[in-house]
Amino acid sequence: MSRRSLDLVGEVCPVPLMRTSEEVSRMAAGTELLVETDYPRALTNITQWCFRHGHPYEILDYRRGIYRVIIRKTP
Amino acid sequence: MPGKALFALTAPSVVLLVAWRLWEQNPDTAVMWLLGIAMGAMLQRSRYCVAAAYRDTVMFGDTGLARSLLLALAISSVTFGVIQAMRWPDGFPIAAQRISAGTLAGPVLFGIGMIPAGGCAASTLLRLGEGNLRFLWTLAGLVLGSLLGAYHFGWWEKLLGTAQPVYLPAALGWPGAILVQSSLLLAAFLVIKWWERRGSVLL
Repeated sequence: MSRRSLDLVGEVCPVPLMRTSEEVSRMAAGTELLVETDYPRALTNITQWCFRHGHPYEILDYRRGIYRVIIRKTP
Repeated sequence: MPGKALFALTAPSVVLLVAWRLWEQNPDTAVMWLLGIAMGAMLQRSRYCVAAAYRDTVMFGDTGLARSLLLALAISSVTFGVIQAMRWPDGFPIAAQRISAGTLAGPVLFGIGMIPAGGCAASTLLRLGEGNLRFLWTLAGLVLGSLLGAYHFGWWEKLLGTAQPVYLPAALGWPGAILVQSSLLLAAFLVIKWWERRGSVLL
C-alpha cells in the first residue's frame, strides 16, 4: 500500500484542511496519507472532515507539539 | 511526565495566589480574574474558535461550531436577559451606546481580517498562551488596530453620523424582546441546518 505525506507544521487554519482535502482528492483509493500538524483546531477540522467524507483515520501520536494523523482514502 | 505534574501543581497555585492578592484590593477583580482563567481554559480545551464557526461553515460545509455558537448566544440571551431585567432594566451600561454605519461595517472588516489572521481576539490570546508564537504578530496587529480605532472613533462618528440603538425590551417589552431574539436565533439555526444538508461549500 502506498503512502504519501503532508507536512503542515506551521500552517494555520484554514490551510491545513484545504491542503489535506486537495491531497486526498488527488490520491487513488486505498492510498494512505500521513498528515503532520501543530495546530490543535486543524486536527479537529481534519478528523471531522474525514468522518463526514467516510475516510477512516487514525491519530498516531502527539509529540513535541505535533500531531500525526493517517488518513486512508476510500473510493 | 514530570513537566506535566509540575505544571498541574504550580499553575493552580499561581492562579489562587494572584486571586487572593486581588481579593485583598477588590473582590470584584478577583472574581473577574478567576472567571477569565476559567473561560480561557474552556476555550482552549474545547478548541473553540469563533473564526472557525464562520469559516468552516462557508468553506467546508462543517456547521458544528456555528451551531454551538448559536446555542451559546441563545443561552447568554436568556441569562443576560435575567441579569439585565433584575439589575439594569433600562439597558446594559455600555460605554458607547450609539450606532452608526460603522456598527455594520466594522464587523465585516473584522471578519475579513480574522480569517487570514487565524482567529478572533479571544483565540489569538489562547493560541499565544498555547505557545504558538506566530500569534504575537496577530496580537500586535490587534493592539495597534484597537488603539488606532479608539483614537479615531470620534472622527468616524462625525463622518458617519450616529443614531440611538433600539433596546428591544424597552421597545417591545420583555416577552416581545425574547420572542424576537429567539426567533432570529432559530431562523439562523434553520438556515445553517439547510446549508449543511445541502452539502454547501463556497470554495
